[in-house]
Amino acid sequence: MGGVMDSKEVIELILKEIKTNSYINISEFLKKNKLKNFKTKDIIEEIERNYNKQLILDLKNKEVYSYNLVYNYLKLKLFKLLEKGNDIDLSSDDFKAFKPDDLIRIISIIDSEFLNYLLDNI
Amino acid sequence: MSVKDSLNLLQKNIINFQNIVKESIFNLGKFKVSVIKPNNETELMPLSMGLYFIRNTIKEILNSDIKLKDFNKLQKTIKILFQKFIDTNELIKFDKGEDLFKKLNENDSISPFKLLFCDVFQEKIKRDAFKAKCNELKECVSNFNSFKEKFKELNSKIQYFEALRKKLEEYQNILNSGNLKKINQKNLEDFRLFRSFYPLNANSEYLIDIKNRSIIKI
Repeated sequence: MGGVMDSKEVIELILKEIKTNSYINISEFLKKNKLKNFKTKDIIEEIERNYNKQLILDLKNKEVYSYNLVYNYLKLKLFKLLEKGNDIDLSSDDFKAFKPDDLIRIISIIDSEFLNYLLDNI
Repeated sequence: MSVKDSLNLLQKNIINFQNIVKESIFNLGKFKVSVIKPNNETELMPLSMGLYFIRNTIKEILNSDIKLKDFNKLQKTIKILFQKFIDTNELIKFDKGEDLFKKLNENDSISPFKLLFCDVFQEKIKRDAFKAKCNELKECVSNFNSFKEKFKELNSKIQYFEALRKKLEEYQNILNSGNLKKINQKNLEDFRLFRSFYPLNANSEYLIDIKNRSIIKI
């Protein structure tokens, strides 16, 4: 199976799995699907190049999360900080699972949405 | 969306926000907000100046190598701005209520639960069950590893509802078209589910004929 699939086909499999299960561990996923010969590096490159709207790699490139999982975590984190009145600190352990670029781009989107939510109430 | 695109979008939204705030809020000059400066010092300034500060900071970040430490300072200021609005009744028509987390999650423009609050499900979703789920997620949000487990569980439920909604819409279209033969060809259990999601007064002229395994119109 591993010999005939290309990285795009493997990504399609990952997308299917993540739709219901929200995240995967890359090496466990390859093992489970008998794709042992497949290089993790190729999958990582493909995700970074073409799939960053749907899939988010963790900082260590070991796990893949659905975009929705990370987006909702960051959004709910903001909601909770607003409720408690606590400061936000992106360098804290709470955000250490993610790559800086992913944090910046997703939080910027959440900020934009929250500004529009405030405008609805002004 | 790339990092640059997201930051450009944020800048555009800040400008729009600033324009509307200037037009809509009477006596804006009396409100002040703290900003975190590049040297980590905090400065209290008028709210409109604070918005300019945020605009300029985004511009500076975009014109340099985009670094998390710079964005972190910006985000601290943006969070202070959000908090100022949420906490100030004169700035916003907003009652925080007893449970802000729940209130925000009930709003379908920003909530990850919006599907659960849409059209057909409103009748059936139990508010208490929703509140319990909301509290579970709130507990988990302190730790990403616990959160991802809880989210996985909730997401699979939402997927189920999504599929269900498609079926319900399909059946409603068939009933509207009056072509009941289309229903006969489909699984009757789906139709039972469809009926269970509607109050009795809606579509109650349709019955399930168990003997002939079909739908009849009274």
